[in-house]
Amino acid sequence: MSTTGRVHGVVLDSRRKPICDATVLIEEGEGDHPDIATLSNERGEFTLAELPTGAYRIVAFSPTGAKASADVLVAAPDKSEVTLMIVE
Amino acid sequence: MARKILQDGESDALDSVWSDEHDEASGGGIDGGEGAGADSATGASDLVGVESVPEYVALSSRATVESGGTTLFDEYEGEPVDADFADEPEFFSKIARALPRIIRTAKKLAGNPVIRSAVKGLLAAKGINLESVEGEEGDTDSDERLGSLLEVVIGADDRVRIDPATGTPWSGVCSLNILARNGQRFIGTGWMIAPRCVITAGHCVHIRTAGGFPTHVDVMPGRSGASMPFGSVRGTRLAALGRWISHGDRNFDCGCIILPRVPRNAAGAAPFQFRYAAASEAVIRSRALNIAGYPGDLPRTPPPPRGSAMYFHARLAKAVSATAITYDIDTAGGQSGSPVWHLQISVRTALGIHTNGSPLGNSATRITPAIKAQLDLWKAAGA
Repeated sequence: MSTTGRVHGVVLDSRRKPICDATVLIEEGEGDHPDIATLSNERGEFTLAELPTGAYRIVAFSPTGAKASADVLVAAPDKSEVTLMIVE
Repeated sequence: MARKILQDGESDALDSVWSDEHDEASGGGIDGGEGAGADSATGASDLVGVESVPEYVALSSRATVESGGTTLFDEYEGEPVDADFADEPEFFSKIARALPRIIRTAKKLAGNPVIRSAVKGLLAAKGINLESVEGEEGDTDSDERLGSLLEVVIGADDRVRIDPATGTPWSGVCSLNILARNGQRFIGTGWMIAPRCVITAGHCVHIRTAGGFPTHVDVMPGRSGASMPFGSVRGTRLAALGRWISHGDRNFDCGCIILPRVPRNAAGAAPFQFRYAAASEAVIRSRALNIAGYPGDLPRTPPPPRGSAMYFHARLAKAVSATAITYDIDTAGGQSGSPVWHLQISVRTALGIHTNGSPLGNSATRITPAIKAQLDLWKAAGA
């Protein structure tokens, strides 16, 4: 079984308020990852897990369609943190 | 029931574990036990002889199992065995409105050797073999042949929005809203194989890092944005393969949702149901693979919200291993669990379950004879 890590993050608006129901997924990545998307919770938080170690670009879409992305390095078994700020 | 059928190493892996029989706290429920018999009422299974499973439509009559425990891959021939799935013309809605004119034109063009050669060249540049989407020699049903051609040609261009998604096979593709045990929410895709049975990725129905089996999965067949022609049915009876649950083994990333009732549209009809088969590598490579699902990155300009609209794409296989099919078909997060199918004439046969994205090629769990036998049991549970 491959060694995997996870990305925990938060989706914020330009006023640094959490965005709920943002769709978050991997846009690009080095590893062979599950092709599933997640939704941010009321605190804007999300987790993408079971990611093979490597570099990934995480993208978040607000419910209105605005987008933000960030590059993150996953190093198993650590949890990588990322903040995605969406400017509507 | 004969038992010595599955390939070495697959027997334990193909124990199906049900959400309502699994004790997450103890980590139990995945032992299955070779002594236990298959439960046709619940679909719970242990080792199941492939020959005990009814041969499925579109499979050849060739035996699937040799003596001595060696499992062969079936080769389905693609010839429609019956016509019950061939009665619903399937085209994209916008095309459907112009269909009579398109058909007349296509009939004329198809007979023109110059046009035919040019189209072949264009398709070859896209990695598509025109012969793979045409009918059998002597087939005169040009409408069906055109339908086959359109599905692949359009898919080869780029991901294509399916709106509405009420026709064949689109109504059998389901948007999934997943509520994990830890409260996290996910979106994925599934596909119907029986009136109450939805097949999807194992990681859509058992998420180890989010509490195991989800609290529930809302299933919306044929969804197109806010339009849910078959409504939304909440599934709480879920199953995944033991090897996926215990090891997260990508080769066994396969699961199902048994719905409490049959989804129906306003006219009382149920969604399309896909056929499926364990196909040889040669067959898998022989024609374009089709995928439809709910990518989280589309549509680019909402509404509807991203992840709520169905998109379709098609390409040839890039690589085929014993347990996976790899392709350059565009996918994105949210399409996990999508059907990967072949189309020949009017018969659609799923050969894989889309699960992974990768820069080296997106991929599906291949429907092997052992996986197919498990799907047969899940299908019986959701009949």
